[in-house]
Amino acid sequence: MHRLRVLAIALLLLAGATAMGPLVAQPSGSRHALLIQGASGEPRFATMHRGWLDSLAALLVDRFGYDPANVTIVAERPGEGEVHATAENVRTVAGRLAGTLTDADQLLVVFIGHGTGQGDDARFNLVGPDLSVADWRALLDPIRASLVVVDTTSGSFPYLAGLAAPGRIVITATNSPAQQYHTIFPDALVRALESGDTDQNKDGRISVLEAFTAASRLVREHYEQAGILATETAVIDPTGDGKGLLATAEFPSNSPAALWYLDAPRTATTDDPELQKLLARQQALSERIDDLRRRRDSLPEAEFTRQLEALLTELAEVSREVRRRSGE
Amino acid sequence: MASAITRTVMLPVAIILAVASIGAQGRPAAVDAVLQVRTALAHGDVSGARLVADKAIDEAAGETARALIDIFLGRDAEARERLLPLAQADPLGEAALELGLLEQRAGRTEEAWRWLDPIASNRRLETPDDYFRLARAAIAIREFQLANDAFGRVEEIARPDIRTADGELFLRYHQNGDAARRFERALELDPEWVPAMLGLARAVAAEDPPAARDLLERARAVAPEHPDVNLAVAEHALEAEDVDAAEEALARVAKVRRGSLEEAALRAAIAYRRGGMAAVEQAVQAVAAINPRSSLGWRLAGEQAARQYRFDDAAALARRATEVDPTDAKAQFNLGLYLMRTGDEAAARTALDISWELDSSSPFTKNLLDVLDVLDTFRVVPHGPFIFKFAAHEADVLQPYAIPLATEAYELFARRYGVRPDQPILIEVFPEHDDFAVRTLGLPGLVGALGACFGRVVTMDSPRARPPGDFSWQATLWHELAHVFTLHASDFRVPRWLTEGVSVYEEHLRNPAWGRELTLQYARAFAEGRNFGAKNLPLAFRRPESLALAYFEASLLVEHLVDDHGEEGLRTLLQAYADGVDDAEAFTRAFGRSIDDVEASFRAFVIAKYGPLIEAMKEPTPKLEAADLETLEARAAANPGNFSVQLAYGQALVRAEQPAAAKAPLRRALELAPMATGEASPRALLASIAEMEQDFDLARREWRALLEYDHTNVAGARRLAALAEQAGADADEEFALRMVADLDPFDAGVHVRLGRRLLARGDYEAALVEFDAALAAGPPNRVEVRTSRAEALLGLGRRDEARRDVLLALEEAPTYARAQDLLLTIMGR
Ligand SMILES: [Zn+2]
Repeated sequence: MHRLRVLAIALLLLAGATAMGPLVAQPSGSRHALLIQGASGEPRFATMHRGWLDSLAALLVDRFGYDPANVTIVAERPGEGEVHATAENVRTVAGRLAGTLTDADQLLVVFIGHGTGQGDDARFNLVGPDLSVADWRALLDPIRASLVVVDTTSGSFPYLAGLAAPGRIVITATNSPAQQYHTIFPDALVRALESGDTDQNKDGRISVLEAFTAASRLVREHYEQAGILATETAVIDPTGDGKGLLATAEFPSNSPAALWYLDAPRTATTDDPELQKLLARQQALSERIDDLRRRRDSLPEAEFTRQLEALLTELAEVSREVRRRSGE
Repeated sequence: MASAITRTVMLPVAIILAVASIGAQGRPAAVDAVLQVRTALAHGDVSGARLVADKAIDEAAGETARALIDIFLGRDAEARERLLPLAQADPLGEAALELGLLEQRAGRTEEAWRWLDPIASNRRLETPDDYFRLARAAIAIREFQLANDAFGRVEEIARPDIRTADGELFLRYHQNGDAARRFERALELDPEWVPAMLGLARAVAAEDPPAARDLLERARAVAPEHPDVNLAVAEHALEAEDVDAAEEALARVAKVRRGSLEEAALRAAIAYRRGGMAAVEQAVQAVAAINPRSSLGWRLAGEQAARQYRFDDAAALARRATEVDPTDAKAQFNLGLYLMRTGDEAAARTALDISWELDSSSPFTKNLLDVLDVLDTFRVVPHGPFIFKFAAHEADVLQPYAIPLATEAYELFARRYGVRPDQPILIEVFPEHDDFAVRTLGLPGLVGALGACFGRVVTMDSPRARPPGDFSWQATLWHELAHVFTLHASDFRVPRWLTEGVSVYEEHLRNPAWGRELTLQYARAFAEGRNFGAKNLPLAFRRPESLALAYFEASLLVEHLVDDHGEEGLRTLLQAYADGVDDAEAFTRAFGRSIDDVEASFRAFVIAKYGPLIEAMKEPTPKLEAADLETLEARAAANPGNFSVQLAYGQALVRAEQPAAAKAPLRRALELAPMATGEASPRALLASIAEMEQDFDLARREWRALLEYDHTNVAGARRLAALAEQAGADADEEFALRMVADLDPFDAGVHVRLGRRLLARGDYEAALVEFDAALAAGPPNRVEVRTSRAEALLGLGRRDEARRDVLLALEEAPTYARAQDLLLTIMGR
């Protein structure tokens, strides 16, 4: 009971609304992040990039509950407990993560800064010598955690195919090698993670797909509202085939990117047997709704609607009871 | 859309003429006398021409030359008599060609072909004149490609007559640039070749009206009595609405060339202006007497009706032209264009298709057909007196905003102007500015225009046709709809200054910031004596460079007239124009005053309204230049009442990163001109300084005050919305969100936020509009908007619809607690 209440409050904070989804048992590894800010080149970029880095780190810890010890920050000008952004240091950090993370863990890697060059020569600018796409790949491949790589930089497109691997999700801020302008995608990503709108299905959690979709939307809006042509379009490879999809693409509900959450996995345990029963009922109803939706095409519309209404109403009642009993 | 794909502009291709000029008997070269007479006539020198003709040694050449003079003077019967025996003697010669052309001008087509066809078919070509004759005959029998090829063969020949005729062929093909180069070449060869000047004036008229005017003046100086010069003068005068000057020019034509078709046709246009349709009916008889197959009288009368904004008449007249000469591509085009302006797009397409069949070189025809294709993809939304056409992907977003606004305008204007249009008003909203421009004028471009009104048809840019914040599409719609009513109330006779003045004035009544964007520029113009006053306004509306200020001043004049004489006075004025009286009489009827009297009181009105502002906007002496802070400070101290000086000092301090010190001069500038707008305005800078100093309450007040005037500043409105949200200043937030939603309705997020605000204060009806707009624009979170919409519906007691919406939300987000609770509330559980 106590644990559940804490969880509910945490959700309340992050979604900006009372939200309570079905509690699904998930692999209980730990969540890690590696945030890399490269060389900025100019003071105005230095301030901007550092701002994004700080916002991202703060969001992961404060909003998504990442353990600060699990958030590694590689920066152009490292602060206390941070790593200087040289190729050598990056190798060391990657080696440590490869040595410590397991299959059950998840790791979010975010690049902030400038990318230059094309094809095999595409580089993410570090302090001192850079690393090529192949270098990065060699560093990331040994890490066994479930991996999401977000390259927010200009010229990030070659990383989409370059880092593709089965079970790995890659997002790049650009979808063509021609897009070499400074990107606003990192800003959009930060704002997406802050916004209550990002949680499309209002289940109280933000998936990588939701974050990507919302950030893509914010990028598009930025250019539309300024009345200028967009010079960047982000893409995601959710399956590891090296092919990028736009945010407007159709994603199956079981897309790996839809199931990779930034939030902590839910735990479905409670000391209260009544509540335990309700939770089980809630879970069963959710599954029946999913099942019904899958069978939609084989049912007459009216029949589908009737059944769906009944299930949704029941789920609403059960969920209300869950909230009541868990002290909300 | 096959027609759109195949509709490429055809260019004349020089491949047709396979020359078989081998063989002995080429034609003799143009006999000198003919060429010399042609030259004298091109200079407008009839007596010189006579002299040459009479001195001709060759008898036939002399007779041909005299026939050319007869033709120039309109004495066709005499010319025919001279030419006939010569033509019979030499059916491929100059006389035969001239006779054929003469017969054609008289509408005796078969006679004409008898002479022209052999010349066009002749392939024994040696001299440049052989080719030139072939070319002219080919043009007459509409073998344009052949003519082009013939001209191509004599490209290098340095003869102004040939070069000019070649230019005229390119004019016919709407290739004005190519035509201009040929006319220019002719003028290099003979700087006084009047037909080349007239041709060049036509070729550059659209791109460079002053240059065209200059050329016409030059032609006038060289040959003041040349009938073609005076015909061109008459045309220009008609276009400039100076009917007296047009008639005077035609009288000069008649003095030299009696009974010309062009003169009769232009008189038909004047007849429309003077006496309407019945008068045209009479006047075109003169055209028919000269050439019963000519459509020119009807066509020009139609063009005149169109100039007078009477597009129903214009279409009827163009249709008569097409009936007289179904092969007149220009008349078919005009018919299509006018029908588009009456809103009959189906009939317009038919006419334009025919025109395209006849002349597939016209980019205008192609453009209009293309835009009709675009319009076919639009969604048609009939509503009350309106038929809206929106781009399919914009319709759902714009409808909830455009329809109530248009309806409000209609009811208000119908009451104020005492008229209800008897037919539906077509409103077309284009997401592509060039489509709007083509729909409006037949050509892309039209950069400065946002909307247009043709009486029953309103065309305009959609809010996304330009970057957000460029303009207020609502102000545009309001403005154009006001035109609908002043046009109808005056039977389409309202002068331009008045209809624009009323439209801008109506904008201002609807929203004090609308139509007042140029207040500072006007005050400065007034201070420098660059304003127009009541009497000169009509003139100012004819000059593109003075248009913007003319609009503003016209609206002030209307405001002044309404102040003094009420709406009743304005209605009487419009009615007077409907009755067809002139300005002086209209003013007397409406206000019992002369225009001079109005001029004096108007000046007093402007000074009473803007006196201090005019004083503050005066150009400082010495002129303000970039200077160091000390200099600017000294000037600011010496000129406390000068806006530019105060603002320049304030801006310089901001640039020098002394925001605290900048506040005093900026505030002073603000007091002098509180309506200054833009990001470098005193208010905008003070707002930014306040934000910098973390005085967010003050910043909010400054932004709000700025936006009261700066009504298209969408970035400022977004800023205010953010500040207001942080401060929980609901009223400011709602104001700012409303402004963003109005200016940039495709920003889905703003509808959501505005809807939430309205929902929070129980305005369910308005909230529902916002949630609908949000859903149409693609909201950041559809589930949440659906749920909010359900809440608004529930508030309105529309329980079933609410239940439907909340279920739609839950279908996508079964675990959404807020939607779950709302569902249970709706179901009473
Ligand atoms: Zn107007």
